[in-house]
Amino acid sequence: MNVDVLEIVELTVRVAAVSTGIVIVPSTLLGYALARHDFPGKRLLSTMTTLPMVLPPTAVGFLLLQLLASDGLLGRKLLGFDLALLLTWKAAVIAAAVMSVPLVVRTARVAFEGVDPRLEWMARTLGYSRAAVFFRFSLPMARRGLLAAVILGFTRALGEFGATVTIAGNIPGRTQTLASAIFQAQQDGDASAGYALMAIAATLGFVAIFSVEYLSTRRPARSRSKAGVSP
Amino acid sequence: MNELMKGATPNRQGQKGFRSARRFRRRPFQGCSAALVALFCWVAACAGPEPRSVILVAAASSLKDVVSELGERFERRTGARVDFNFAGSNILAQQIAVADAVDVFLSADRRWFDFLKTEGRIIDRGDAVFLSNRLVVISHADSKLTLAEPAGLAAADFQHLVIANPEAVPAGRYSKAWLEQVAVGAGSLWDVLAPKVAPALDVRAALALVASDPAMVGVVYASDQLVSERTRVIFEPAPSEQPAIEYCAALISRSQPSSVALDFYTFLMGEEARAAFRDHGFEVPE
Repeated sequence: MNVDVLEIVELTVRVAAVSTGIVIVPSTLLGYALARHDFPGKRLLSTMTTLPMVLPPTAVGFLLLQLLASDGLLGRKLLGFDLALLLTWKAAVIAAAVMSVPLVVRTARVAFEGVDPRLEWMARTLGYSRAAVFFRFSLPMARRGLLAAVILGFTRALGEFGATVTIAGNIPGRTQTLASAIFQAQQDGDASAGYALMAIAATLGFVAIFSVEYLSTRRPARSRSKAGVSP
Repeated sequence: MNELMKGATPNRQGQKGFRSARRFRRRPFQGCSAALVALFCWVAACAGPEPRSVILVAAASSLKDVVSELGERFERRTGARVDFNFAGSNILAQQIAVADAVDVFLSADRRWFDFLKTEGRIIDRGDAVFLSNRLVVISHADSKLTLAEPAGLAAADFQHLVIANPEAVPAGRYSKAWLEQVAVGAGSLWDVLAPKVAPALDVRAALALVASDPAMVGVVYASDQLVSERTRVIFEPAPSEQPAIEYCAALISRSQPSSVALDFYTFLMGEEARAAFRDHGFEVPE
């Protein structure tokens, strides 16, 4: 076996964690906006943010490549300097972030839609500002769905391949993630590395999805608050 | 009915909602914020600028074993770090054309070297050809297939002819050029075999595919076959009947050049590296 497993796992988790960190706040806000507000272009916005989920990942990668290339839209000619993101782990973060946005936004939206809007109106009548209502009521009440959104986004980022190899390449020690290392192992005919990496990927995925299952089916711990809060 | 009632009773829902909200106020996302802070410290630690004693070498996949070995020797001697990106020369050239990340490019043919030259990405250092190679026809080690002459492939019993992508990857382009030279009936061997061609991403992927399936026959470099015990050579075309295989080395122009890149380039052109290339089955021009 000719791969540095630890290095690959570290990079994969780092890329997924950073991309989730970037995506989480805007996607939550967007999910809330889509769940609660009507505004012109809402359907268009919702479709656009879902698009990366239905496009082939290589198509997304191709588009990002054209944007980030030195003579691309976000390249030297326009910005005056080269972002120098291509073929670095930061490019892998961008790819993973773009690919996980749809999943996070949609799941967050469903989570907020599960919160009874009458509760928010009630809080407003009690004098809470809109921001206070969001932070003190909507967010806590949707938190299980939001956590599921984050975990799903994280796992999507863990497994991203198509867009990642297109803009970050498959460079051992720099941009080689679990997904691309497994592809490389298969291309090289290195079955033992393939099995080892596959087992790690399966374990990470299992833990993540199992937590989502757990969060979405667990009954909220009611007994304790019953004792403390009178009806 | 019960379900309907539940939904229609704002009181119950309200209590549940406010209760969880209250609990949240008592226990905010302390754990989450701590985790986020830790995460960003980690990222900040990772995101510092790379010291330019680290270079990235993009090399044709057929060079994998020998160039990694040379890279390790170079690292031990100089203390610099050499990272490698092995893939088809076509993939590497496309990456270099758009990204400012690669310092040295070792291409398996002239086409992709010239492509980058016209893109203005190569620092001109005179003649770039530093290696040559030969094509061999291979099969799985267990295959009973034998071949007296290349035209025998036209009638041989096998499922797929595995070569690197014949339109872009150097090994595939050389293989196609050779097959087009072999006359079979009124046409060429390529015309006969084209429907059976299974293109691979690079030459090492083609090698791995042949090594995994006795129903395959492949064309790879002689140096590649040497690293695979599960394949054997079933035919070796005469050197005069093969296309000239020319590996080109290039120093890539970077926005922040590194002296290590030139050192490594010079090392690769040196006598010690030439001996290593010979040991690994390459031909080194005088």
